[in-house]
Amino acid sequence: MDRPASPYRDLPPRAYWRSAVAERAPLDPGDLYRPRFPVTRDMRIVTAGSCFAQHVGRALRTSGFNVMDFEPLPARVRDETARRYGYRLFSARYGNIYTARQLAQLQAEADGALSPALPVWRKGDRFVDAQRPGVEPDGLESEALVLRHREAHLTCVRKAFRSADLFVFTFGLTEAWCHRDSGTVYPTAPGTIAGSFDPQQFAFRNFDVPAVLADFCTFRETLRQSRPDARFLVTVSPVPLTATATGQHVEVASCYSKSVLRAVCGMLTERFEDVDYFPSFEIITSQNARGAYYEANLRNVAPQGVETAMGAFRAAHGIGDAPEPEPDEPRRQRRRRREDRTEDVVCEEVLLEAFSR
Amino acid sequence: MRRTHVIGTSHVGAIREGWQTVADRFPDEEMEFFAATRPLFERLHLDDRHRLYLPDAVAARVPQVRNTLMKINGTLSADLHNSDTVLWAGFRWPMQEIGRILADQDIDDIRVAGADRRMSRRAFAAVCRDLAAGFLPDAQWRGWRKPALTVLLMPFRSESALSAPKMEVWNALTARDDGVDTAFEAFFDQMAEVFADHGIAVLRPPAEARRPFGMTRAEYGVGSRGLRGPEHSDEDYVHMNADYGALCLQHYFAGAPEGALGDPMQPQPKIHATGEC
Repeated sequence: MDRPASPYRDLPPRAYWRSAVAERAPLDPGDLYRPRFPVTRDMRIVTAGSCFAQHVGRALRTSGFNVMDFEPLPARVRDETARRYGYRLFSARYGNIYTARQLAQLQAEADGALSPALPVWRKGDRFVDAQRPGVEPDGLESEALVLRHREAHLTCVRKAFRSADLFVFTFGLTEAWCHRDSGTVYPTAPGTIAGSFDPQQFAFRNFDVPAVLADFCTFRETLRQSRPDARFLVTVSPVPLTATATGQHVEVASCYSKSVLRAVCGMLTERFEDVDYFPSFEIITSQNARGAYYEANLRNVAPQGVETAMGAFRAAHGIGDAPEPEPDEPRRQRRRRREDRTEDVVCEEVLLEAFSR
Repeated sequence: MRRTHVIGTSHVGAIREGWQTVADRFPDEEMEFFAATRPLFERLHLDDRHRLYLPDAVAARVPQVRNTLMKINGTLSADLHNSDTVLWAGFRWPMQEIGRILADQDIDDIRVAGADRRMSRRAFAAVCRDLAAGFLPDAQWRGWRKPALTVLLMPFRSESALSAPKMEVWNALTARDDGVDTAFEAFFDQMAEVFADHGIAVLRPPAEARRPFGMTRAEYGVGSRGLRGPEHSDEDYVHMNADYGALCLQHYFAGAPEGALGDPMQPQPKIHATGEC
């Protein structure tokens, strides 16, 4: 007897939960990602985003992709030192960009269309850049010096954004702290790394889908003015919130935040042919993984998780493991490539942990 | 009488030539030399009795290296433990990397030349320390009590090289030399500290021989000689002459550690190009 006609009849195994997930071997990343366009090793790739984006950028780099660095250091400098000063995290030294609003704001600032409010925060008797408070861990001697550093940095940001064949962005958070009068958004809450919290000046904001979507669309459109052929690869960080200021349970707030970001990614790929979504979030949070891709704190992504996700990315693009080093590649550089696979990321957000009781 | 064993690469040539011109002025100093071209020097082994020698395996693999060593030194090994001090000449350091940083970016309080990029002084210091640490010699060269070990850094290239190919960095520094020398001195300070932690003193290229843009004055590159005697070609911008070697030795004698180290883990005096400790 024929089975009744149904749109779910005769779909491929990847369309059914049982065959695609439940019966998949544990830790097999599965066939979750089918690229919309090829990512090749000759594309100029610019990366930005949250802490997890550091993993993505590093994995792309060690896989031999052409990840651009507009504020480089000599290869002999150890990663530990470079990262302590905000180098080698992303394509410029902007530190973590957690929200789409922060990304759009940075782009506007680099283009001279916007000046963030309260750009310099105090840290003891030193001063830090409020938009990237982690890149000078000891701060600088004066407010004026911070502004001079920022001006030079913005030149690099401009060059980076305007050079991208592929812009890779990892959405991290929806929660942010803003300057009440100007709307300037900051990567960290005032008082966490530097500055001080004044409720009269700063307000909490939890961006919703329309806001995140609008911010990324603004960024995309502006970038395409200088790079009309640029493409975008978006991901969502699988790292849950360290803390929430919404008043909700952090797990509930985390789910909301990731849902918003994931929905935006879906809407972006629906709307724009030049945007692709890489499901690192799904790979790492998959029930199939049974939590194996997280560290003991159930928050940080374990190296195995990063490697599984990025392995799926490479496989989907037909790219093997990292290319063999050139024979004359310095030993230290080779060591760095090995370390790249496992080293930790720089994440200011985790400092919120210190405020927990 | 203090006995110094000068070892190293082709840069030992300048020191040996220089010694011949200043030996009369330093009657209490005795010098001995043992050198090899860089690829060969890097294959020499140092045993735990401070004997520097050509391993049989290397000699067997490339038979002519034995002849090369004999022709240069008249011996196949150097017993460094018989010396009070050892001066390792032509010691490599990240000249090009530091030059590149300075060509590309300003450093707070050190160099403001209108570069697009900017680095804080603390970041620069951290980068310098890292770069310096990357040039530490292998463990068997560290923590010596006797003889005391000093490394003489490889000279800056001759300014005659500015018209040569691949000199973009140095041409950029020549065009805007503000703070270049200060930045190199800051690097040398970091290198001296890092190396002192391992009982090794650092002798930097003599200040009098340097241009403010990080190159050696042209006159010190004229007439430099190779390890086997003949002059280097006019296109050699790396090796320096007897005058340069003499200058280095004067600084070395003025600041060299006196024989054995008290505690090899205690920081050594920094030997500055200006001669003071």
